[in-house]
Amino acid sequence: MPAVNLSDMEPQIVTKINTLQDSLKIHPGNAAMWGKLGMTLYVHELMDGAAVCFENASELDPKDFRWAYFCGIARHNLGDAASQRWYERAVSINPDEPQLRVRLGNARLTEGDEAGAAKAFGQALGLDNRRADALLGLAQIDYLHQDYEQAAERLQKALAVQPDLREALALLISCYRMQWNQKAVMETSRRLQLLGEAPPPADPILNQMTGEGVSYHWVMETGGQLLDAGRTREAAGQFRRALAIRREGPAYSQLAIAQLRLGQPDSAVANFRRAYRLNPGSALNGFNLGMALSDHGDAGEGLSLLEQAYRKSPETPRYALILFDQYRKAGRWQAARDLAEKVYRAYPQNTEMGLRLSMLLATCKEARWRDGEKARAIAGEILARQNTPDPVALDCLGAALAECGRFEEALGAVGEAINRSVAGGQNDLANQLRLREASYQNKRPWRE
Amino acid sequence: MNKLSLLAILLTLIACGKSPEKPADGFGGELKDISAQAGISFHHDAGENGSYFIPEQVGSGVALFDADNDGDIDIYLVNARSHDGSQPPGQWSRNQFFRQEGEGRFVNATAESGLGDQGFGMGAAAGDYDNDGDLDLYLTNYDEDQLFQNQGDGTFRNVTTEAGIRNPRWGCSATFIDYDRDGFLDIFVANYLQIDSTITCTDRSGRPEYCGPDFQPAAPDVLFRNNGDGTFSDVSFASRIGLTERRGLGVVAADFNFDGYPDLYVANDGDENTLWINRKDGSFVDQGLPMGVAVNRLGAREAGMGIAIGDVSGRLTQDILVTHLEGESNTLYLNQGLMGFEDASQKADLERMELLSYTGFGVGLADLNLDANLDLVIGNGRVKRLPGVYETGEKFWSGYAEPNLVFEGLGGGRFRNVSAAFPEYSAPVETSRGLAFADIDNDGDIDFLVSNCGGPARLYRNDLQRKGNWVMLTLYDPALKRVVNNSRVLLSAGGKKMSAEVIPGYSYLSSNDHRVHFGLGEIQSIDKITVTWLGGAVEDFTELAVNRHLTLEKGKGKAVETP
Repeated sequence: MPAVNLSDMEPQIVTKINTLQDSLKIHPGNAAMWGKLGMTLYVHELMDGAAVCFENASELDPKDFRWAYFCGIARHNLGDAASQRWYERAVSINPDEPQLRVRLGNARLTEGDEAGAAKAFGQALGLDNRRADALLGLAQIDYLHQDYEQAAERLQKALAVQPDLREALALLISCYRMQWNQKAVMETSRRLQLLGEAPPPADPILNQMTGEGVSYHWVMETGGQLLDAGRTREAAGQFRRALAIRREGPAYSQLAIAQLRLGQPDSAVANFRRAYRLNPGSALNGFNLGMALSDHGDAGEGLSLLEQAYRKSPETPRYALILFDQYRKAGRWQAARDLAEKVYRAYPQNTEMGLRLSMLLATCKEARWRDGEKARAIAGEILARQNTPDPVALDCLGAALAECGRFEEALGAVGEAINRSVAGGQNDLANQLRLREASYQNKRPWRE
Repeated sequence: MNKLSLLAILLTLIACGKSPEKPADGFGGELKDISAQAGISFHHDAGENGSYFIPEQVGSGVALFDADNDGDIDIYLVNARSHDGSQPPGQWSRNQFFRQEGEGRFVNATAESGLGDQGFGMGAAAGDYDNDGDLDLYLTNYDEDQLFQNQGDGTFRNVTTEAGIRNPRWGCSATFIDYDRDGFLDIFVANYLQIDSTITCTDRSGRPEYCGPDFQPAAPDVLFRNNGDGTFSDVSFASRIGLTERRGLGVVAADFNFDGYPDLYVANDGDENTLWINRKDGSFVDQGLPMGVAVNRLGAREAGMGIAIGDVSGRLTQDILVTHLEGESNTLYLNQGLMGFEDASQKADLERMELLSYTGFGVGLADLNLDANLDLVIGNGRVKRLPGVYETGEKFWSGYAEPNLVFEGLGGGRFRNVSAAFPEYSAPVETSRGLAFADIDNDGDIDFLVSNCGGPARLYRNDLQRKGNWVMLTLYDPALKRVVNNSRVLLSAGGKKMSAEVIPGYSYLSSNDHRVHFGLGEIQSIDKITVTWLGGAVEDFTELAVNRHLTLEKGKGKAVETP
């Protein structure tokens, strides 16, 4: 039985581990129970104990590939090269599962066994020719062999299957660099820069462990993943589970976010308020409650809370931006303009605020808050910093030029913004911009 | 069995249990911990108090520099401090300054030096910003950074306010760089996070743990332009450097694109690394992605900590090595000139499984055994506890402790792990952070000092078997009265060429020897050293002896041996 340090651990984890250990003392030959204890230890980051349990499970039930596979992963997390041996065992038990072969390929590649890795990746593709991770693995080997053309070809195939595969794009940049294709380097770099944070690669076998997690942290993490995946109702269930473990602010806040998405604003406001009461000093808690109230409750209280959040954390761009939007929504033009000027002066890197300020100065319906020249200067300054002009910045410049009566130039700017937004797939923005274009064609500046 | 013994066994299993490599032939001798005999007594106060305040585990750095102009290296050790109000400010820990008395003996001269700052200390950079012939000191803090002017006698005056330095953000590594080539050193600071202290984190077992950086917004970096009159202007936005918000920890200034202007490379924690290419007009543009140094070869943004720089490949270019979090390799980017960089970590044998379990911070490339190949030294320490290990009280940092590593450079961008041969450096399992390199005893090889989070600082004397000759160069401009950072050196000897650049600012939170060191291997005599001074002038120096500290003085075109 592996020794596990249980000190200061959440009681429900201790209970679960103790229960499983007690059962194993009675049924030491039960492979599934060893596996269950291994999974429980694994998800709570007790990796060394988990590896021992998986080894025991695999010895007792050598036909279940999962135990060998999980053992390989636990050994890998411990920095143990023996992981490869366990992956090989898993593959020998279940040769038809490409996931196992990709793991084995990556482990072999890490250890410098390129031929072995290529074989494993190739066999994974033989089982499923749309495995982007296997194509990536083969491309990595091509790259190491300085066959940049072949590597690039495989990477293009991988990206056709999975366009958000960051690793493939980065390696593609390296291939183009080695081929002296500077244009392709720049284009692919831009593509990579625009790519958001990709979720970790899916491993359906490993995901079987999810249900074994009972810690607050684990449940919250699982809930967050479900929320990101759009499985909102299940996410809400996980956050309720987390609250049953510990009544903490982040669990209330996450539950509230899920409830907002589920169309339950009253419950959401109540839970944001609970989080806020638990920690009123947190700018984030005040901001969340303020946002919810502004849209679904007492807008006055909401605005007050947003102002507090901004004062507590003036460097957080989002707090200032949302406060600006709420001022504008409430028609408090002076407050909006003062805030935007203050924030943009202090944090010129906050280009979103700069663009909001420029747009307000160009298009505010109250003439006394407009200043076309200043709006033009700000939009121009931001565009000068951009390597590739952004359609929103071009739109701001167009609105400012129109306010200055320079309609031909405004049409040029908004036309360019439309072209770029269409090219970028931002069709809603393009439609909005066409309304402005029509206005400028009629020699009329845009008004909010 | 007590927990510490269990931990020791566990760490030994992890570090050595797989396939401990024997040292390469001829890589004998010792890296000897001489802290006690040298008079270095320093225990880092990380300020840990159970609140898991992130700056506690970021650790602190080291500056190795000749503070009193007497020809030997002195030591400045940065300290953090209590931060929970349990101690009055007067009792907060101070940074410590150790003056070398010669022959490797140091005395604690903190009080008279004026360097005993009590901020929540992070890193230090040494440079002569006022061109008066002595090295000044820039100190980064979690709270406000400080600038200390050397008074010419090894004592310092805090000139932060009068110099116009104000960095209220969380400064980490800093470096001096004359980016506009006006003859005055400017200052770049890599800022890390903006902390929301109301956010708390736990591990997956529900025990309190330090939050990762992704829970906090990044702080933009800052560039101060030296006005040449003892004051600085914040040009972060005008230079475009302040327009990018990434979590900066390490920085190095070097001329990466060979255009005669120094550029900046910043290691960011979890964000893309930034390669600020100097546009020669006072502004910079980030070329990290197209030049291949923003992400690893797999496209992953890594947790960049420290940076080492040197010609690892032998291509006469400056290569970069960045230390990272466990699960990520330490990444070696080989400079391929105009083609940018290639991530050659795998070819360098740095991606081996047993190396992926470490979290690297301080790092340096130096030819330890003088065989004409740069070796690699890394200080490790976790940022999250070792799974299964949970300690409080005096043993708190043992959960984060890891062995340190030494690699022998094999040439051509390849390394061999020889840590097991140097137990005095690799066996003390501590939470290493700052690591600085210098020829402490002026014997022609590179020694180093490591700062451990919540632990002792350790000074290592290089007692390795020598596999060749050496030369150490001071590139001095009498008009500026100082060493000229980012000047390039090309050494020619019997058809072989070697290159280096004057770069004192590298590693993690640390500042290093201002001299340029070459291990020469079997080279018996130097034909020529060509210096490309920052500013463009090129000079050849001939009639140079090996196994000497030499000063190459700008405009003289000949070498002058230092006493």
